Amino acid sequence: MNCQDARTEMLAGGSSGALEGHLSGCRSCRSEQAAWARARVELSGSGLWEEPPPDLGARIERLLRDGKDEESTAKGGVGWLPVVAAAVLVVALGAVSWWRQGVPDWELVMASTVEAENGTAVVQGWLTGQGTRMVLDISGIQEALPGTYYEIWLTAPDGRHVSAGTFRGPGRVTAFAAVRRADFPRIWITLEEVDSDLGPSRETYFDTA
Amino acid sequence: MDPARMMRRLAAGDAEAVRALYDGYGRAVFVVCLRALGDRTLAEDATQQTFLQAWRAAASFEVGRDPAPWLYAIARRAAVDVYRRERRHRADRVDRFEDPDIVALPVSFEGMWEAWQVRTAVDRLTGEERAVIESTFFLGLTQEETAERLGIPVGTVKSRAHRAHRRLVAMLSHVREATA
Repeated sequence: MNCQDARTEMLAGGSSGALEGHLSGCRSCRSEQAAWARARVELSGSGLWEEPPPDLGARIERLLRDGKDEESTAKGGVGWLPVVAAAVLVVALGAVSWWRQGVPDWELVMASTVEAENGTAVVQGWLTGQGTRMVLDISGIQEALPGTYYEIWLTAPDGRHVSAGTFRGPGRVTAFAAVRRADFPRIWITLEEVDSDLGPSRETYFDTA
Repeated sequence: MDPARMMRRLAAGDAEAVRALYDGYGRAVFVVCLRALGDRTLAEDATQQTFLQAWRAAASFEVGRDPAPWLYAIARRAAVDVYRRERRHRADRVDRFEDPDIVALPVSFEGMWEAWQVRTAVDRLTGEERAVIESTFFLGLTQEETAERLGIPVGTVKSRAHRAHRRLVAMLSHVREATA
């Protein structure tokens, strides 16, 4: 029996002596058989066939659009002001608008660690209806090597972590976390490996703690 | 939308690209989150977080690579975050002296990767192939019963089942090799 015949019989659920004989001497087909056996277990589990609610995709899209609208408004200045308004009123409203949309709710300089000896990281943050939006200006660090990336964390006093996003190197980074900074006051940046441990690594580059 | 174009648009902050990403992987993300969390509402929450985080982290994605492992890592992390949050809310079950960094995840998290692989592979089958696989494995029907249910000859069921099985094994082998 060749590999083609063996796999055809295997997929059909067969277990003839010829198949067993082939499998005992063919590592590739044994590997395929093991993969198929695991797949069969998964396929038979009812959870695999569950469907998300039909409107979930639209809800996600709406959330993003709302977030984007908020961001574009912040960048858009005072275009909505009536151009025929009295000059004093324009100035006053413009000033209020600039304060509300342009000025961050908070700004801080993160302390660099020995990992980022010459690094600087300045964070501006806004409290939004959905969480905390941040803009980080980062310099003095190397581009992350292939297979690694930097990750921004927010941490609560009780030690719970939330990831606010990832980036690859110095520059301006926009990040978001679906929590309030009042509840997660510590902000820190680590270097992570792709597909590694789920929690923050011990390679901290910047930290507000 | 081809994956490279989708990821380029995603990296550029295009919300429509998130919808395309959701159309391709939303079911798989939901399934693994549901498997991990065991609750549809929490799974919806984690799925939502996954795509929001993916959109925000898209700039760090290397266009040209398969987005599936990258998205899976985000989904798993989102599920862990939701799990930790819920665990925290159930104050009566939290040990105050336990280190919150060391969270023992329940057994339901262990099979997430395999569930992800199989579900993404199933979602890449054609509609006809998927119907046969679903009928066989989910509904537990025989090939004759599947033929009757789908209104096609038994021979067609057999050929579609065989083709689907082969494609599934090929896709699963590919994923396994790519992440080894």
